[in-house]
Amino acid sequence: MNAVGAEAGLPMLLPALVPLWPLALLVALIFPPGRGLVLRLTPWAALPALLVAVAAPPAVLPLPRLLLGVSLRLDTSGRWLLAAVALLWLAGGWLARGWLCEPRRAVAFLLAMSGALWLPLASDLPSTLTASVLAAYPLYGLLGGRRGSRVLLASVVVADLLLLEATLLLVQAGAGLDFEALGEALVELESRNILFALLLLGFGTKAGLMGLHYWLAPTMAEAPSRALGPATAFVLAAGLLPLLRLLPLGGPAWPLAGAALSWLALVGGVWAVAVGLLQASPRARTAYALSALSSLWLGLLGLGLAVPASSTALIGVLPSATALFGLGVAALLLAGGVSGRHGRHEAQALALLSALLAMLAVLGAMLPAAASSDVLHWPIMGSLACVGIMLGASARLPMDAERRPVPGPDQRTAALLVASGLCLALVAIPSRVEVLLTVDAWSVDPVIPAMTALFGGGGVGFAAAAALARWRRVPAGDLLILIERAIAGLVVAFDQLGAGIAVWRDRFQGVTGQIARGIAEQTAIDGAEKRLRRWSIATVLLLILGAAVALLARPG
Amino acid sequence: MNPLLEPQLPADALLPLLVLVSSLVPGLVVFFLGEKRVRTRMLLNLGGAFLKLGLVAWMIWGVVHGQRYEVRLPLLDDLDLVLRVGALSLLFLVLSAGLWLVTTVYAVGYLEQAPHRSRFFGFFSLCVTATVGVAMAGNLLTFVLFFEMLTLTTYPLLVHRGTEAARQAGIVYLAHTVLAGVLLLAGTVWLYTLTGTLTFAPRGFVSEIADSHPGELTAIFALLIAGVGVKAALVPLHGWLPRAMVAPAPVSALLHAVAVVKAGAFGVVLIVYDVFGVEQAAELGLTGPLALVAGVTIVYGSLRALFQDDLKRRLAFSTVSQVSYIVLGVAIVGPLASVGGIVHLVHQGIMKITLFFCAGNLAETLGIHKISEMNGVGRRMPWTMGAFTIAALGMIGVPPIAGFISKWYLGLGALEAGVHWPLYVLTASSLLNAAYFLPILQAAWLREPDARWAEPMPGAQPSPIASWWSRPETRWLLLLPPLVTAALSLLLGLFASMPFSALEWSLLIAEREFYYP
Repeated sequence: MNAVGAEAGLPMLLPALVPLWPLALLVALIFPPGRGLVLRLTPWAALPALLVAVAAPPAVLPLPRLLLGVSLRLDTSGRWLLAAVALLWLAGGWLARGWLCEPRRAVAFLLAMSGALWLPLASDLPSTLTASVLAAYPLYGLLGGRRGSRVLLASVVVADLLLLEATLLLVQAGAGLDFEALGEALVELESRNILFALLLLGFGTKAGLMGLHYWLAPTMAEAPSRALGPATAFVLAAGLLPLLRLLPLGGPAWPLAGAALSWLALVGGVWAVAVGLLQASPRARTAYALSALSSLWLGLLGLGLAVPASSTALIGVLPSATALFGLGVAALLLAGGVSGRHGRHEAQALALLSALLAMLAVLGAMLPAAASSDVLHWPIMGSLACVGIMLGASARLPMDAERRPVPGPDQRTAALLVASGLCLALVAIPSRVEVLLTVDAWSVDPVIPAMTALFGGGGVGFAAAAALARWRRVPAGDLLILIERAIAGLVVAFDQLGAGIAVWRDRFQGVTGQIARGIAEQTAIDGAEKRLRRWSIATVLLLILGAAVALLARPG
Repeated sequence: MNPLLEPQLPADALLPLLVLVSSLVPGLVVFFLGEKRVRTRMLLNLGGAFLKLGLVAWMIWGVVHGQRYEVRLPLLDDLDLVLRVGALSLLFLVLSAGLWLVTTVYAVGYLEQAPHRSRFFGFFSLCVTATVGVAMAGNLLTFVLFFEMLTLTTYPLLVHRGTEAARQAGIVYLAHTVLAGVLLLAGTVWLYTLTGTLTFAPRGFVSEIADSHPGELTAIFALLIAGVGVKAALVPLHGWLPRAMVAPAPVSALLHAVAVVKAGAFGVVLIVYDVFGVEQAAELGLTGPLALVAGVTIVYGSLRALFQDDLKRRLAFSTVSQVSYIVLGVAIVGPLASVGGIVHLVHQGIMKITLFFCAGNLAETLGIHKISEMNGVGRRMPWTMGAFTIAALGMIGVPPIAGFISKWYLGLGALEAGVHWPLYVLTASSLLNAAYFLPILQAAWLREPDARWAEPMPGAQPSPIASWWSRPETRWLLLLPPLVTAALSLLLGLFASMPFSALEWSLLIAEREFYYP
């Protein structure tokens, strides 16, 4: 994986192939002769994207005539995320092979895939918003249109509006539309705190950040297996990656933002543990682990904002860490669930491996930060421990023999994801070493507490999941209950307002109708109308009116 | 030198007249055709539509190369009937001519077996004649004449079905529009007495008397805006529009996307830009109240749409809201807001006509009139609902569909002008749009279909396009227009930065209004 260095010629066009290939298949679906072939190819439509991620050289493809002027960029961070997104969609495609027999379903699948694959390559906000829309709206269909996915869609609508406002404010302040320009402008503006909050709310919603996580657990709990990988990919590419690109890491220190993110990470982690450990569904529990991971991830970004010296190292490792923990979490989601008596140990081992992959990814992200800081901020350490607890808890499979076992394909797919993740981890090792070597006088001392927090937390979580099995359960999405009640109240209020308006409108129309009927019944009006219908009277009146108009129209 | 002031070729002076005649003559001839002369009627209508589009394309080429098109016909002593084609009028002309063509195709399919087709298409063509006359009006008098002609030619379309509901709707429509016509005429006459001219000019023609007659100009502005505001469905003058949904779907599509509502919005643009001038209007304190009215209309229309179960009524209230985006863009004094308002004239027209075409398809094919009847209809009519989905998402302002571009420039324009509240109005409106469009899409695509139309209707003829999905959907004359307009909605957003896009044209118009000396 190389540093960014744009290539000209045919390699420059390769990023365009990534989102266009699924769209090309979609167009081919229209024509009956090739439809069978297209439906067979659909589950594998992310394969070219994986090949581009692995083998294509860095490239920048400007498209000034598209939308408001966009560009596609294949750089290091995008490459890692593209690989992860492609793998997750391939996993989804594999599990959806039988389900994709209907063209309607294939259309939704290909549209969502196209958007998801576009996201890691988008280098400006308008194309990020467009790709996010393309990824999210059909994903809602793939998720089955149930309660969780409805909440996801509503959240995405609100998040996109907040992001649009933030973008407009940035552009109005003179920033360009690409991430670099927006990030530079963000630091210099007086209103940067408000803008920061808007961006955090917008992208944080999509990332399932604790506090904005209410859609993630219900969605993952209800989703069919085939949609788990794509949903995880959405969190990574639409939520976390844009923040990495947008926030001004390496620029002037921004202690307020850094502190805010660090504390959000801790509070989010504690919240995730408090609620996540009491989830009935293993997938919901894993979703809380993902939310805790997102919070920790943002905390690390905050570290980069507060201590610019650490940002170079972070920029180098966070993309790969994101990709790896995304794969680990997706594997956990697929492996999580109940295993029957037969194969229980294999399933448990798979879940542990998945959790371990995610932990290794987090540790990989922590190492450079730990090594380059005099002391790791303790909110980050606390958040790290919470992540460890949730990953450990998610790795503990319930031993309830009454429940149905996890289907075979799910487990096999999870195993493949873990294997892919481990392969990518091996690829990432050289870059880790490279980053570590660039840090002056790094020490292993801060690393040990980080490892202890993470793996110790994992052990605690693993034990706690069993110990808390008999405790009262918290509904998935926790905050969602309150939000739904508030919305229901608003709907009732609007209904009553609408009914009230209708009553007043009917009364008004009743009164005017009565007046109109009264007028119509007046014989005087009848008589006047009959007189008006005579040619002589009508002509005289017309002449008078014409004379009046002519008098008025005379200049001066 | 301003290319609009260069002399024109003599033959080109006839072009504006030819544009009018291309729909006027077919309209008049069609009246006298028997009901059974289907092919002749179709040839006349489509031929006229294609001819109009060709003439407009010729004029685009001319305007781009500095050509000027103007026709003057003496009417009164000091006042002529003036037809003039400039950048703004060309934008509206392209919209009208293009959408008239697709609506004609749609109407031919929709009214295949209906009675009184000659009467319908006759008034249909006259309606479009009036619309292009409004687009090409070179002075306020010409505008008023064609504006009132629009009223008279749309009334028969509205009451075409002859039902009691249609007649009532027609009465309400006439009551609103005739009153509006009186206000418009009064304002026009009053203005003429003060200025001695009614000719549209860049930056308006009232600046010389603005200091001496501010009160009168304010009253005239109110009269003129009220006069055009009825057709533009500004609250509280919008009451005729939801009732007008009893008309056949092609009429609803025409009214909402091309003719009446757009003519009203176009009138607002002309009054602010070419009568008063936007800066002069702002100095007189007129744009603030106008923006406020637009803001209230945007939110009110969206709120009312939320409570409608009848699909066309929901779309009608959506139109009430969306057309006021144009008024808002004009009223926020600034080039970027103007761009947003003007480009929305085109974008909203194309998206809204798509929605009405789809509503017509659902009604005509499956008898669906209510949203509560739309469960699973996406499986039964995937192409129609696909087009509906694109247009609905565009209305919400989702990229990359055209509506996003309009909202982008409106938002940016509000910030440029130093006012933030339009941004909140747009946000609230987008949320409400999502609230009343997304449930329709959810019901159509994800709910189980209604048993009564889950199977193909007896006697339904499979169309060439429907056979691609191995199930009959609807007649291709009904299916093709919404697919074309949905594709346009997508392309206008995706390629907004291309030369000759609606956005680029709007940038040119705004540049002329704000930056030409």
